[in-house]
Amino acid sequence: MSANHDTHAAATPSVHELAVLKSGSAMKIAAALGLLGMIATGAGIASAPHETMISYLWAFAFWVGISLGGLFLVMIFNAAGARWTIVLRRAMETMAAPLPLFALLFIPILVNAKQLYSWMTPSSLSPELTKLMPAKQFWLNTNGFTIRAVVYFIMFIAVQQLLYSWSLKQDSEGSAALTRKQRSFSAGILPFMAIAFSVAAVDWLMTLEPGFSSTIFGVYYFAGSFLGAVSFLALASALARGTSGAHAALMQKDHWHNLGKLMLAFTAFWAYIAFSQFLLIWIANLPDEIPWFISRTTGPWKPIFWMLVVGHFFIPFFTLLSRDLKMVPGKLALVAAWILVSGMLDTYWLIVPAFHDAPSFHWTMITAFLGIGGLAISLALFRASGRYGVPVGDPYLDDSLRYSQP
Amino acid sequence: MSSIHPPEKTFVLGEFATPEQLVDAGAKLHALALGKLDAYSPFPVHGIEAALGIPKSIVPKMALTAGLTGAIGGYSLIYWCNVIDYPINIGGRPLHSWPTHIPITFECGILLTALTLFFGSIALFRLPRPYHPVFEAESFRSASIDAFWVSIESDKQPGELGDVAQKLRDLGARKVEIVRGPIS
Repeated sequence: MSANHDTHAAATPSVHELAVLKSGSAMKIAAALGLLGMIATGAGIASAPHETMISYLWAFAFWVGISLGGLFLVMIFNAAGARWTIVLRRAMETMAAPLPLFALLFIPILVNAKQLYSWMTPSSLSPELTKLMPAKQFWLNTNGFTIRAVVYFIMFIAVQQLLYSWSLKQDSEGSAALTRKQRSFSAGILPFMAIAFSVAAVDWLMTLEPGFSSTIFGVYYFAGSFLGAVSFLALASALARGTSGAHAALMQKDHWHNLGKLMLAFTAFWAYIAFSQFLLIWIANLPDEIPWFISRTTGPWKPIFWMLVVGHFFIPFFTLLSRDLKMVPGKLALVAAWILVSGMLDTYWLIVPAFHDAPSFHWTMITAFLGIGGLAISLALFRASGRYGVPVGDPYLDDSLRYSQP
Repeated sequence: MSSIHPPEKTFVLGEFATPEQLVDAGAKLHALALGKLDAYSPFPVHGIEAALGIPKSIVPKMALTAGLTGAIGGYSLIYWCNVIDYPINIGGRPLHSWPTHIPITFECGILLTALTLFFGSIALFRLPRPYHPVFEAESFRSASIDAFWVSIESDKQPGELGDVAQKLRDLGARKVEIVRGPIS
């Protein structure tokens, strides 16, 4: 098929004409919104610490999930030796690039942890929970929570920095040895990263209700985050189509199609995990598990639950079944935006029912969301600027550019 | 005799050396509108469907229809069993416990989709089909080894298709055959 490849290459813009990315207005706008949002959120912490911390945790969980999802995308495609994704790799690495910032942004959660985690003040717990606490203290203690958070972030940041630095080094050196290095390191570290991500989800989100335990909880948060990361990648790529030097200009119809297929697959995966968790707890009806779902699926939270079933599964699933839609970047980006908004609702539904009997809104949700998201996006764009939008030194880049699905 | 025998068709076959030549020639033949086109190759050739103007497959629509039918059928079956025909109180749960219906709904959707695709594809390919007129050409065997063939279907007699054969040679076919036989 070598001759066939040449006919494709003729239509593909040459990599050698690519300019490095410049820092643009998007970065400045994101930084300004981020700073303003963080200042307002700081004021919120001073005036209404409890409400603000709930908003802050919600925004943090949503954005760190997308950033970590980007890192998982890089690791998974490296480990699989995937070639079609090379054109997207720098964009995925850029999504993971703000992880050091997320470690800093976690400090407010550590400092104000008592506002969120009731198990940190044992006197506030119900008599039933107080009885269970001695057995749970092995995991649920403040020092352990802090040390574990430090360990998770050391792992996340080390893996992100290592993979990013090898990939950047390859831009100038172009050696195949660096590809081998990224592949074998990713494959080796993935299981440990999966455990760290899953346990972090348990620590940060599941222990909001200390009586509740679900072994699939980490996978549920991962499924939503990974879907969010693929959708964010599709949306950001569609928005970057006009940017000079960006990877999006090199993406062929089949790359968009594949992103759409991943979105479809992980929409189904999210629904599968969500339903697996729900069915087992619903049918067992055990007193320490069922309250978590009673508060989330009945009463004032019932509409949110059904909005998730319809909005996070049925609408994107049946929309993404269309083959033609997945190949049109504009339409795919619209579905991606819809999935991201549904993901925000999903994270809200995970966190807020632990504190409120009915859906509630506090103005810090907007400021925290813009603050964390703005800072993260501006740092990602800052780290991407002055560098190539695609890994120009990767020996498989040409394979990726002329990718055509069988 | 003609009532039990299927109608006879003539096929003009052209052999090309590379998939690119096949796609190129296919597109030009499609523009000439000489007759129904088909291609034969040892491996899938990118872009050949578009070049020959072959319409989109109906298989995805079959799959979606079967999937939805299976899912609705599965859900309805359980609903009828549990709520209408034989209602039993299980652990105090409501008779219509939708969460317990989902696995069966999902499985029935998958099962009917898989069966429809398996048997539907066989029907669409008209299998089993031990004979096709293109097999009359001895050299056509190379289509499953190392050569790329295109065929033009026609109702005319082989003797009347000399211009089509010449057209194929002009497009770079290294071998041209004209065969005729019944098509079922």
